[in-house]
Amino acid sequence: MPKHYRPAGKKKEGNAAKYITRTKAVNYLQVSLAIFRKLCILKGVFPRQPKKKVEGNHKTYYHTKDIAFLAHDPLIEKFREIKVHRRKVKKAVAKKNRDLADRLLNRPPTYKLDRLVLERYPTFVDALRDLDDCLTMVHLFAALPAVDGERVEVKRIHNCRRLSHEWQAYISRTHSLRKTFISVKGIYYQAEVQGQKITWLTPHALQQVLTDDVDFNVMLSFLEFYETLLGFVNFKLYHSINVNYPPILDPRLEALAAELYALCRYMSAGSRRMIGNSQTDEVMEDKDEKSKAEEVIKEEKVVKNKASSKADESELRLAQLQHQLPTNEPGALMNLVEESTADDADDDDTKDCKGLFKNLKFYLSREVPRESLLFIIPAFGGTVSWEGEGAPFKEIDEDITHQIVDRPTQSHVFLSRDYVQPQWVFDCVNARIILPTEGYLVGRVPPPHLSPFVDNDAEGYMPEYAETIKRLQAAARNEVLPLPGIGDEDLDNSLVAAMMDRTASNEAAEKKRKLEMLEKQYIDELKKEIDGVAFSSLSNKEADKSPNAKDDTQSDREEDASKQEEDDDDDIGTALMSRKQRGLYKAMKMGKEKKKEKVELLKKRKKNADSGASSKKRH
Amino acid sequence: MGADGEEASRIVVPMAVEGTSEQLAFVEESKLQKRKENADWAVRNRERRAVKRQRIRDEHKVTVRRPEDFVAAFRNKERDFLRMRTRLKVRKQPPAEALSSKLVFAIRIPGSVDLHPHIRKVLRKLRLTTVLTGVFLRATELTLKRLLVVEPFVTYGFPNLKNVKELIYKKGRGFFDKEPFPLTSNDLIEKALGDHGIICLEDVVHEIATVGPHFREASRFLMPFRLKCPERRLQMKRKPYKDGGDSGDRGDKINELIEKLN
Repeated sequence: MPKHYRPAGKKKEGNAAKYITRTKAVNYLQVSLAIFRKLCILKGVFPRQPKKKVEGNHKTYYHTKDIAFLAHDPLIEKFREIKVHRRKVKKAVAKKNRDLADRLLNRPPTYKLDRLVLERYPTFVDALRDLDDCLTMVHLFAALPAVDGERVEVKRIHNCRRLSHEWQAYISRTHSLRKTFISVKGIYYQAEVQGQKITWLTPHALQQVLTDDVDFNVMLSFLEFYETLLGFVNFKLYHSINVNYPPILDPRLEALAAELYALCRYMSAGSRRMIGNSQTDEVMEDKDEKSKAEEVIKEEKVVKNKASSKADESELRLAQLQHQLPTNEPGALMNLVEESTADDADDDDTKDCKGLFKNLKFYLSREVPRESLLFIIPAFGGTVSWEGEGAPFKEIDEDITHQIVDRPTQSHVFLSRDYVQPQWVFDCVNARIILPTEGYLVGRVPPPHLSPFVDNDAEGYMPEYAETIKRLQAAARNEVLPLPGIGDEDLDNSLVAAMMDRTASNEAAEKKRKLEMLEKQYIDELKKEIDGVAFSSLSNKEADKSPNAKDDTQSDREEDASKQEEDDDDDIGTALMSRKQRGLYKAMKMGKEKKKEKVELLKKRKKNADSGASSKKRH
Repeated sequence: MGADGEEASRIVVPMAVEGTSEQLAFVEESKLQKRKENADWAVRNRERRAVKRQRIRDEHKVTVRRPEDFVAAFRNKERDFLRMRTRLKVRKQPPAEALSSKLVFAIRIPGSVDLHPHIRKVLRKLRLTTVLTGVFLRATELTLKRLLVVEPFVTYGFPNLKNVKELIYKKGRGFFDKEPFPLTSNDLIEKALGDHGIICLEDVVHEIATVGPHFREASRFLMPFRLKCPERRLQMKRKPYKDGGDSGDRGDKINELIEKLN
């Protein structure tokens, strides 16, 4: 460790002075290794890799200034206090001094991590940039059970659950969700908050099994910091939309396992009250009338529900009076949609997301993942309800446009709505259009669920369904994409026509007519596809095969000639390069070849899948 | 120092075939070391836990018990039995239809291990043989009578939908083909309960929460829930809850207790 003064010739210099091993750091700080690890996690200190490892390659090195940074932190003293306190409790219990043990347990030393958050993230945008891991960890622990043996506390799990719901309610309220993807690990979401893209992973709503192979101490240290960080972020975000934080939920909805819905109602009530305060007296008068009507409704409810328990009523009244929550009426969620139209200061992306599911009304069956869809559908402007008490509307409501089901048989089928599988919602969100529901109906195998995080152009491989979605998107924008390859052929035709005689020009004119016919046919197919016609397109595709075969022979000859020219050009180019440049060029070539091999593998799999499907159809 | 640096710079990347420029896929040595260390730690951790469990069992076996302990245990059993009979005679419990909910969640609370055979039999019928376990029951006359029999060792009440859902999603274990399994997939639930129209975890929750026609099958499918011991050990007095203790009927306050234990 650094000394105050040493004469020349006896100083430590270079890496020996800059870096320190873990053992020496722990000894210098006079804490145990577990506490040292916790401190490093909370303060964001991580091991370094010096170029010259003074004491051997097998050791872990820390920067000396990082260790000095840890030494001056008040947390070290607090951790020492905690250790001493535990020892006192243990001694009191051993001496059978129960009173002293109880007194000590009632006053444990505690610490707060607020200062660390401000220290590590000076500005809010810095915190948002680092929020991916935080959100993933919080959502994971929200789904974990509190099990004996592990040090996962019950309070912490409830806190994580609350924080994750609050975050989801904010994203849903501000329509900031951009991408979703269902994978084996869980459901990925991507949101855009104040210009920062935040991606997190939520476990599936099934039971999580803890194994012995995971060291939870490290995860719990990270979680401790992340809980504080997410609390600060939620505070800032809620106040940016004029909603008080922390929210107080309707206890009745909370008891009915509808926390996310309760949060949405709280946010709409809070923002409405804020808007009301800023408007004129006339609006205040309207509000008074509304409050009078609400009072009348309350009186009627009191008369009707004399038999219900008084304690619940009093709690509900207290919550409503404190925050002027609207009563739980059918269609209360429609207010969210009405208010969302009032906001004008939104960017284009948010407007697109806000209007995707506008005017659509969803009903969730029991077996679909409710929490996920309750998060996604309001984030894109839709209205949603579910089975059970506390839901805004019931299954028999005739305005429902879509019912999300995942069960082979239905108890009752309404003709005025579409019965679709949950994947339809996720695919619509990723495509930003309302996809046709035909492929997602009950009992059918849905189309492949494509990842929105893959850039198909950069990959060089475009799945078939991605092309279909692209065409649907273009149709939604009232555009018509040209047939693939038309531009190239036009160029070829124009080049060749300059060198041909009259008979050749006549043949070129005939080709153009054929291409125009093909283009018209393509546009007709596109329109039919939008309408949902499935079988006629197959027969059209079969008709398309024969003219393509004729073109192949000519293109082969042209390809041979072009290959020779390319090889000659390559040889000339590489001859002029230096050795370094030649190596770099070779590496680039290898990278491109690897990518091409990947694409070929995907295409091969596609062919195998198609042949398998066709053989199944024959049987 | 310099020699080490030179050796490091001379590390040769393995080639697929001599003469060609292709590289084999390789992983850095430090990463491989880390993986090996993690695997070793997992093995050591498992062994350490097993040793701990075995030591706890051995300590119980070796304990010396004196004759006064046996006498006291016998007298406690007799006293519990007499109190049970008195409770059954004196207590007038309300009819099952008058209760606020048909769903009851019963938790075995810590207490003595010396039970009268009759009480132990009733606890086994309720599947509450281990401390800090809970089961869902339908509120019938017979069930309420049984709960009255075992009142000093059990606490029960009416859970709300949130706690029912959280218990089943986080602590539920299914019982199928004479083996318990975690509810990590809907396939096994469909195999076990598909005949009754229950095909997924949410259906189980719905059946339990609404006490539907197949409540018995769904409840028997779920093994007793293992609950976590709270941080500060509860007093768990054997007096009834309304008299300041921890046992017996809690009504809706069972939700607070469940949130502490789950």
